[in-house]
Amino acid sequence: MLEMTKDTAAAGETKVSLKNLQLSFPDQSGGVKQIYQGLDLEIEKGSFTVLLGPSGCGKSTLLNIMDGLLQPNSADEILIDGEDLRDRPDLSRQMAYVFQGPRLLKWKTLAENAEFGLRGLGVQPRDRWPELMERYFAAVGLSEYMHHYPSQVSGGMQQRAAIVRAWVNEPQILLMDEPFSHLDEITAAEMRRILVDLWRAEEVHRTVVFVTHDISEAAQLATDIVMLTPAPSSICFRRKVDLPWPRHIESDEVMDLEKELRKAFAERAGVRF
Amino acid sequence: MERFKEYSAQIASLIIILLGWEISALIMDTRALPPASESFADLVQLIRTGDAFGPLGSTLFRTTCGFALGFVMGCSYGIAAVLSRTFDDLSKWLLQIAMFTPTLILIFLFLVIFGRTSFTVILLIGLVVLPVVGTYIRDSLRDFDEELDGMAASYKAPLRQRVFEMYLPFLIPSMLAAGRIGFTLSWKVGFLAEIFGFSNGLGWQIRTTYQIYDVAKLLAWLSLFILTLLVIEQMMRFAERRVVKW
Repeated sequence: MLEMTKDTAAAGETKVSLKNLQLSFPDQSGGVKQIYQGLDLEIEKGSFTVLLGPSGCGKSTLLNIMDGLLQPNSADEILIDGEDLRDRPDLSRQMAYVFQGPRLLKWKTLAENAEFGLRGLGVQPRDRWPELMERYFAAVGLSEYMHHYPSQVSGGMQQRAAIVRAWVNEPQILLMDEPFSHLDEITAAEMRRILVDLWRAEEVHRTVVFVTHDISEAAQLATDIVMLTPAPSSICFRRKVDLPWPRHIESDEVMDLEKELRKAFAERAGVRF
Repeated sequence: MERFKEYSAQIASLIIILLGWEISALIMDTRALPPASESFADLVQLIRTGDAFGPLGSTLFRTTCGFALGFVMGCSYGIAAVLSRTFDDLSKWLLQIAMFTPTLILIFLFLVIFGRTSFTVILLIGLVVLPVVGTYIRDSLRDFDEELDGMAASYKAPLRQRVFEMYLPFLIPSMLAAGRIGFTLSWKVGFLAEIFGFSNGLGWQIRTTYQIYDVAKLLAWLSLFILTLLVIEQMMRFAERRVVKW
């Protein structure tokens, strides 16, 4: 059962730890594509960690492994709060996932979609559900649209509803896989603001693992940036970000950070923009 | 307003058909095509005296039972074919044969092999409806968005929740559409089977009126057949609008 309590540990504590991760897939030519060859990754509790890397480097796959949806070929450890996910699959109930697309059920209203997640993860007590939904739909500005079907709202609103579906479970870890990549820039910027507001609004922050290949997005969101090389991927750069919010895309600090990330990408991952 | 326009257009088209029938009958002036008014007078008479309801009830009973059988078997087939590739491969040819065999031949064969009983007609309708509903459901299920499965897995939705909240609602529009097509088919097959091998039902009434060359009454029975089908179809469309709100 999902614990509804917030993270209480101090920042600096490890929430997720992956050690010596090995994963390969058969490729189209009949060979084998190595995704990870001994990847190590640690995610700090309460951080907003952005996994940044080129397409195909296995960023989303990392989220799937953390959520227990995919088993690597081998790994020394896949720890959540110090316990191995393979021994305790129920640990993945502490997590909620936001995908690239909203993945809403079109025959359910936005509120019913959020309830689908609550029911699936078995969030208790059940009588808190209406209050949780009202709170988070209000937080993303969708109170009036809770009882609309996905087809009756815009793409941006659908993605906001998908964020509510995840957040309403009050997960300890929020996994976000390029959630704004399909939106236009204005909507995406608004969504980033909503996300940061939601994350900051809570006294003790949830751990967010956010995947993107957009350097600017990483600079606007992260407290911790992890850069991956093309597959077989390894961590080529890692940096803490201590900029205040709101971070304006044209502020000197954000632009300097972007430059630094571009340089790191070019020098360490061999990727030029 | 849109709905009103839609209904007005449908009613207008019916009136045009009836007017065309009436005018053609006046121009041709033959016993082979009596005026619409004469056939409808016969139809009203059949309904008023209650003579229409016995044959209508028999046909409806066989058709509904056969349709229900075919629908359940068709849905089961569609789901099984998606779940098991082997089952799909094994049943593909049988299904093709069932679909391509002329319905009239099937009617004759069934009446000869199983005898002229209601059970024969119900079984026959079931087997004719099965491939139509089955392929519809199978193909619809194949279009199910796999990303939704991924979403359900990430939210740890158990099988029961996936079935009742994902797969079944996804299938409802296809089931309703397949149901409409299947019921129309059932109605026609049942009707034909009655023409060839029964002593009751709407089909038998049509055959009798044809044998005595009472074309006005034949058309009255035929109108009853079509009207019933239209009413049922409209009811199914209404149900579809009520259920499929998204």
